[in-house]
Amino acid sequence: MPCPHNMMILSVKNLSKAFGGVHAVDDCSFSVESGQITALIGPNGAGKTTAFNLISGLTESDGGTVVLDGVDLTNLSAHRRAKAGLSRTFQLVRLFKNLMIREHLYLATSENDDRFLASGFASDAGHLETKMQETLQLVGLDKPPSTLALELSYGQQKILDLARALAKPHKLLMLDEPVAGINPVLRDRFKTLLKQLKARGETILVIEHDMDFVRSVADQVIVMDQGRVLAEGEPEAVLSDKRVLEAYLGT
Amino acid sequence: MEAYFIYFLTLAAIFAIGTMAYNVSAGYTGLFTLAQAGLLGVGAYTYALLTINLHWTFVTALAAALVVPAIANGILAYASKKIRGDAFAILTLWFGFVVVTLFLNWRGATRGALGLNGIPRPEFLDDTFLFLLFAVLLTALSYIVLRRIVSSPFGRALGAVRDDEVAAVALGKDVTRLRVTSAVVNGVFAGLAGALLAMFLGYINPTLFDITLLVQFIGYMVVGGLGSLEGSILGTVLLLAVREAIRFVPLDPELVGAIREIIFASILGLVILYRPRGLIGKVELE
Repeated sequence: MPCPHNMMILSVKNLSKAFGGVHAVDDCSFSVESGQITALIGPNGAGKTTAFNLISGLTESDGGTVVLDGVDLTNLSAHRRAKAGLSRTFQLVRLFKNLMIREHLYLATSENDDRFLASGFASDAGHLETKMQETLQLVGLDKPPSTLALELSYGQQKILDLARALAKPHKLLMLDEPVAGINPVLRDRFKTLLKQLKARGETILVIEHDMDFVRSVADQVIVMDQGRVLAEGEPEAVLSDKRVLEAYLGT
Repeated sequence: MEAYFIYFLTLAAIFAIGTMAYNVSAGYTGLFTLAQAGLLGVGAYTYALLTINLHWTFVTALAAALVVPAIANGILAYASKKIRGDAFAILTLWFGFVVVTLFLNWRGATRGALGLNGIPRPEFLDDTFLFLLFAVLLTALSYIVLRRIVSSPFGRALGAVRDDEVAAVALGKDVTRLRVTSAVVNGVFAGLAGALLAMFLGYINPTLFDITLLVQFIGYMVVGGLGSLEGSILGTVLLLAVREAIRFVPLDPELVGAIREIIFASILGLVILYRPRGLIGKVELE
């Protein structure tokens, strides 16, 4: 899905969310450029995951707008936002534990399976299997497709989570800490994979704590602190910004 | 003895439809409702009231007996959008109470606790063996239709809702629509089981559909296994056989009812403890 360069695919304006008295996301605005990898970073509690949940509609916002590829998502429910082209993973992997690898990817690719009349008596279209094979090969998950999610190791679960998000038709891929808690070998593989995905024209917004990872994959970095955007720009500039260092180190 | 055997098999066939329907909600969709006995009651009473009081024909009354519980269950599932977990279980349990209370108090139509007798059925069903064939045929048809549904892309989406609702939403699945449709499917087949029961017994009263029946269905479904239609048939036949077998044990007639329920509850308890997937289920009871 190659897009013209320098086009903003996602635009977030004045997004806000308070839990009780805590402003988890506070008047937050940023945008994501098409065809690039944008990293969303910040200390724990900065509001990154809340921002993800507000964008994807899983958490209702107090205010602000979310526009994806010219379509205003602000008043859409979460599943409609997903149908409009958002695809995401979760910090704590959320798989369908009683379903097979194959079923995860078929679910991701199918579009009308929540409609009984369209799919209650239907069979799977042939392209689902092709798409599954392609995706599994791309992410390098070498387990039989009939393996249940609950039989996978943590690392394999992370890969399947990513594969599922990739197989879902999308314009923007949102990854919430894809390499958290996985071994260094797998971490390197994810690095390479993200670069490959970018080369294929994917636009990726990624939350990540691992600065090495961010430096090596991100084209743009957005730093959040206390619910606000503290800085944004290219990795080297942003990561040497004094305010950013202060936010991270607390000095 | 042969007559008794035919009676047992017919009852097992009818209940198996109700258990399979229940499994679509609880096992395949993860919506653990406690409305199942009430749904059968709505089906049974819809059929009986329409044929006795309004003289509807067999086919139209049967059709209504499928539609009314389906709508009721669809509405209950829609409520699950806001009312979740334990609160949803209580809501559906309450539905069962409301249904039984309605049958008890709406005496003008239902004759209250006296029940309704002389429930009409097509003449060929007066032959008990033909009724058995009819019931088994409908159980087989229900199995085929439900198997097709749970194996379809729609059925897979139900499994996604069961295992992780948030992840299903993130894939663009309309979770409320999936839950409601699944509840409607359950309602249709629960209604069929209820109407068949009314036709078979020829007599129904409100207490037939109280919590005792609900507990039986939970037992049939859990012992057979969540997420398995075959398990629902197996669980129904085995546990109903156990219940019926106790009739032939020489026990104090005043205690036989309680002993039967204790044995039933013990089997259910052991299965939950040691085999949370039931005999051939796909999903663990949580």
